[in-house]
Amino acid sequence: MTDLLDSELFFDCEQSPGDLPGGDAFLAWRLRSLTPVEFRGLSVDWLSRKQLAYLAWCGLLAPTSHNTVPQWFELLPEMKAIRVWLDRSRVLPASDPSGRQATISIGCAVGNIALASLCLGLDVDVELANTPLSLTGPLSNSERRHVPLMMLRFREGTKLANPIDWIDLMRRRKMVRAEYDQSFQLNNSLAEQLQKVVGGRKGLQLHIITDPSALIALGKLQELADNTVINRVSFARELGDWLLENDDQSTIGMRGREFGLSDDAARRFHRGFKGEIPLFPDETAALAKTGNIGIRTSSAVGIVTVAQDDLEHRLAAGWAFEEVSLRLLCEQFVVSVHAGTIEVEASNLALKGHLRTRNRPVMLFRIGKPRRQEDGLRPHSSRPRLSAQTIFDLQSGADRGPDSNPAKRE
Amino acid sequence: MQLDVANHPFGLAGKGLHPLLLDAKDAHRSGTVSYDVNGTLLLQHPSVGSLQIPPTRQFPCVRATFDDLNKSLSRLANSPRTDEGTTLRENYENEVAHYEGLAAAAYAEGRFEPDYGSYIFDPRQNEIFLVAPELWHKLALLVSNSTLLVNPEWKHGWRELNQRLSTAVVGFAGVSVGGNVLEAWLREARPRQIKLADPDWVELTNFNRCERLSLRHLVGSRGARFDQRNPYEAARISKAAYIAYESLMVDPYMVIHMYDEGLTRGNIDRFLTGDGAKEPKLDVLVEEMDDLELKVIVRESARRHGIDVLMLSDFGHQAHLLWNPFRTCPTSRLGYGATDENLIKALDQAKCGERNKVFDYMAAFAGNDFATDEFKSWIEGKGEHPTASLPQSGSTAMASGAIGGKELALHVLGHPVPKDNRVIYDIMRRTVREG
Repeated sequence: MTDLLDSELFFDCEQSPGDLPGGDAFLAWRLRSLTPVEFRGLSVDWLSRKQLAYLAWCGLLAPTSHNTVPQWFELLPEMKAIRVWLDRSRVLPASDPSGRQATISIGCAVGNIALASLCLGLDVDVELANTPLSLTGPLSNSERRHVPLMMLRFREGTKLANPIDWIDLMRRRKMVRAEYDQSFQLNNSLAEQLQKVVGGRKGLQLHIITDPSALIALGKLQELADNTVINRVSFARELGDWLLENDDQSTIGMRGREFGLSDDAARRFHRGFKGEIPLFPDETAALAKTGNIGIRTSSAVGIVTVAQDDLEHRLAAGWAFEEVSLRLLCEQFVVSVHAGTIEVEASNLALKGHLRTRNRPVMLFRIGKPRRQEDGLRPHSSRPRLSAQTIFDLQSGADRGPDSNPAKRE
Repeated sequence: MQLDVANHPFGLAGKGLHPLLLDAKDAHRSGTVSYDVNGTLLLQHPSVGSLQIPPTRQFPCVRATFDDLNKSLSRLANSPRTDEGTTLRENYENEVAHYEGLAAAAYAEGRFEPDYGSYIFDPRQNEIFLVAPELWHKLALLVSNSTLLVNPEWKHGWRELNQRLSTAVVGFAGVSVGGNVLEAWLREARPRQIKLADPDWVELTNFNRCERLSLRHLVGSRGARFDQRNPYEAARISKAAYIAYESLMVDPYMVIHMYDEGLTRGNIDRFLTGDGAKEPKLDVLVEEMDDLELKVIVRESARRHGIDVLMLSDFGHQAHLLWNPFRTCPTSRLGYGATDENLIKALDQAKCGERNKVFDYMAAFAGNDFATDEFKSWIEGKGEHPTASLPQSGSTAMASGAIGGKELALHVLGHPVPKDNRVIYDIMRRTVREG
């Protein structure tokens, strides 16, 4: 079964772009962008488990909060469907107490699968699971670790004349948490296009901020939010668990190099946030400052607001964001998500005031092009294999799995 | 299509603070300023619409200006001579006679003010001031400095020296300690124009060291909130805007070229060299930014354009003064403590998140002896650390400003830069060291 899920046919292991480290943890980024014909050629049956596995791999490429990769997949060839689950052990209690960022992350994964389907000539019907919002927060004792969030059912679709190669974009996309080049501007027609992508979903709106003074203020707000959370012991410990040393082999979590940290700095922040060694206040403040500089040097900041902060809107926000980030990549723009302003309630309320809206901001991301070419070549984040993220049989005990915190693994 | 939501308070921080300067004669004749019988002033201007200002918010300053000058300007033989050969005192007498004639006529006709001087409308306070014409207002601001500042050869007279000071164009990049240097420069020179750049907003923690900060500049009013009950909405005020406002409320005739987005890679050259039209080239740049990379980039650009750079650094109890005399020495290096090559290497290493590399860069920039005493202990992590930012002593920051302002004036008047371009004023040890 594992061989089938992680089939060698899915990957092109010969390719080795500069930002793609070797090793199993980075296999996902070597995913081939299959043509509809190649996709059909994966198996004799139409929409076999293998074909669904390929689509699920696309879902694995989606960005997730702290690179927790909380999306799990149940492949249902008999129903021509994939059910997407949330692994609540990957919902972070300190930084994401309501599970908002985790469910948005699931929305990104769903978005990837839906966009990949388009490339492969499939239509998708999406059905929201009836999981209550209260069951999407961090896992507590005796609760179910996995909860279903969405079902995607596939149908034969119409072939598009010149489809965007979404899968190629997915495997090239990454968070670029670097200073951007202020001289690049986001043109109005692209901005309008992005706003339509988000605004086409009921209850969602994309605010695009380009005014330099407003970007400066947003940068300060983000720095303030980051300082707030870094100074909370529980948040810092959690960050230490997920901000890893550069040579860490974990398939989840973020390595310091993705933030531009040297090996020594990554080790120091990892250990310092975990409480193993003392950090200086100015060190953590400097880390918070990088988010500020990142925002103020951006071409634009995008903020997704929702009319209702429920599961449906969170998933839709993630899906919309993923399409936006891929469309931006088409135009050579990269993005970086900043959750601090969203999840620190005081900052979120301040942001609502700035935006002149009564809707809740649920995503804030900056848009731009890295100022230094080498920053654009920082390595991708890691990903687990699909076989490690697949729901096989909930009755077999898999639903009471170990804590997925990368720092607590063997 | 409007991308940004209109009227973001955070997009407008500090904008709207700029006082409005109106020539009194023009204002009366155009109807921009008029009075009703009770003395309520009606201001009609595109920037404010139509606004009634009661007498309690009107401040006629002309009489006081002439009274104060009367006390200061000597009638004796050493009163400075004008181009026409008259003394400053004689000119003053003539001007006062002219003003008093106009004032008497206006009073006799039942008007509130003659066609004389300039109105200054303060949009922050909704107050209006009537001040003397530029020559006399600026004279009153400068006259107490007397002839304490001269050129090295003692060749020039008071008028010529003031001319040199007032026409010098100094740009300030970073207006925390830079604002203190600005304040001292304004007090010495009363320049016709300056340039200011700072992207940050005012914080209460800046109040220990920045000139003229008060609660007026901490936040915007409740009226700026979208939801007036939302306690988290705090419109903040741009540092560049606050300091421009405070400076203009002293000298409203000064022209300020504002860069409230701060210096960026995209605007550095314009800041240094002007726009070829109304915005002039700098004579001196005062660089007080905390962006490690911009400090290098702006110096590289200043060197290319032959513009001198002055930096005052408040390191603990020491004020470090450092010149880059690029005008006279276009090959001089960017930092004090290292060659350009090593400085840029140190900069690259400082970006990787390692704390000690930041201090290595500071040493390459300011010299290996930049940290002493308690400041050095702070860097070494000894003792308690109540703040996450670099510690700054309020009085050292103020002293740095005063030293910088004087240094600018001396420089403009032709005094040489110090030995090896650097001076360390150690306030704790009460010593000064050149080089």
